Amino acid sequence: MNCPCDEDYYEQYLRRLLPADEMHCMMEHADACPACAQRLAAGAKLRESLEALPREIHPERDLWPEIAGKLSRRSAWRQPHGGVNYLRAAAIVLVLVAGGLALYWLQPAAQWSGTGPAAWQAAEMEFAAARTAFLQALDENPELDNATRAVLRENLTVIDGAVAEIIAALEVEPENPDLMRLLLAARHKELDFLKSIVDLPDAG
Amino acid sequence: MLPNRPKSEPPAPPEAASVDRGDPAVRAEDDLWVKQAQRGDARAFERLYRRHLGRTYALCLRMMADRHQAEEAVQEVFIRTWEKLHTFRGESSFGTWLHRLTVNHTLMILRKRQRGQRLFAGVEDAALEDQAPPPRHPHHKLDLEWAIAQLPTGARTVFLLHEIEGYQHDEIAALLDIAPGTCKAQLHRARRLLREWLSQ
Repeated sequence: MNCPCDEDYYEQYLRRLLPADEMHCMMEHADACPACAQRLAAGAKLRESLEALPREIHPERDLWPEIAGKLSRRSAWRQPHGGVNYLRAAAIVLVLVAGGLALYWLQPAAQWSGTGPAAWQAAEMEFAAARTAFLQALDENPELDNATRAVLRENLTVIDGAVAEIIAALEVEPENPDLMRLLLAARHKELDFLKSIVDLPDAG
Repeated sequence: MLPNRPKSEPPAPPEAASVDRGDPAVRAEDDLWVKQAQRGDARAFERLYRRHLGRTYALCLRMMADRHQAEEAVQEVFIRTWEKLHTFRGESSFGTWLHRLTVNHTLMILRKRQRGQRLFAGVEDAALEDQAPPPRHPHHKLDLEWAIAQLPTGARTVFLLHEIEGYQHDEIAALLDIAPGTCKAQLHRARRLLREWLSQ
């Protein structure tokens, strides 16, 4: 009597993958061959143990705090309190302020035609209307969570503070074209900032 | 005499390499969390982590055969997942993609652990021929998990990838940079050793 020499053949028998006639032959052979019978019994025990192995094992301790800690040092990691959006908003504020100053120095005086309190107050009213519209759109953006909105409003407050200082200076020197230009540049940048937030598809 | 039968490889075990749970709701949820995580949402990534941790840790623990190294491997895998998440296109399920990443990463760790040696050194091959059961702590139950952990690294890797993770020989051979014949030989020897040890 010849025993199968192919290891895979035993496996196929154990998994019942052989054709019916070969399954029968193997069964009869195992009945007569102690070596094959022992081998098949051991193989069946191994297979049974394999099928009983759990597919999932959980570590004894929670690994998430360490993973989150390492990931939080990466720039794109956004914590639930809106950490990354805070960074982005702060960066935009910096650009806004820097951009306002840059425009002040780069734009020729002739681009601004009005002078006096009436001119800059009229401009302020125009900007206020546009700002209100954008803030309404910001509040109605479903993509933004409350935490992010709070951070963005906080940054707008910072911008408002800078603009308020310019206006305070204008009240002392209402005819100062440089201050007017600075105010205009700051307001333009503020509106660009608001527009960029409103337009972002995934600002949340 | 048993009839001749063309040599062929048994099909992969039912729990194949894909870790798709087959539940559309689970996959849909994973897809949503992946999109959120790709936008930087930490909470969404944590949900993915918690859902797939068990499977990932099981693979790492069995491959590393060491709890501490498995914990480190899991952390590295999920950090790497975060870093590569932008490359995930949804062609497979997230679970399948994560699983492949885990296999590749653990193999890389094992290669580093071998300090440049191949996972299948000639001496290991010969050592498998007549290997007595390793001594065990009296309190260790002689169960399969323990027995697998005692296998030499290369044989254990082949056994796990084929018998538990469902890879075919040619896939394993490509991953380990060995011939398919070597892969089969390692699997057969691992099975023989495990049969012997479990029969003690």
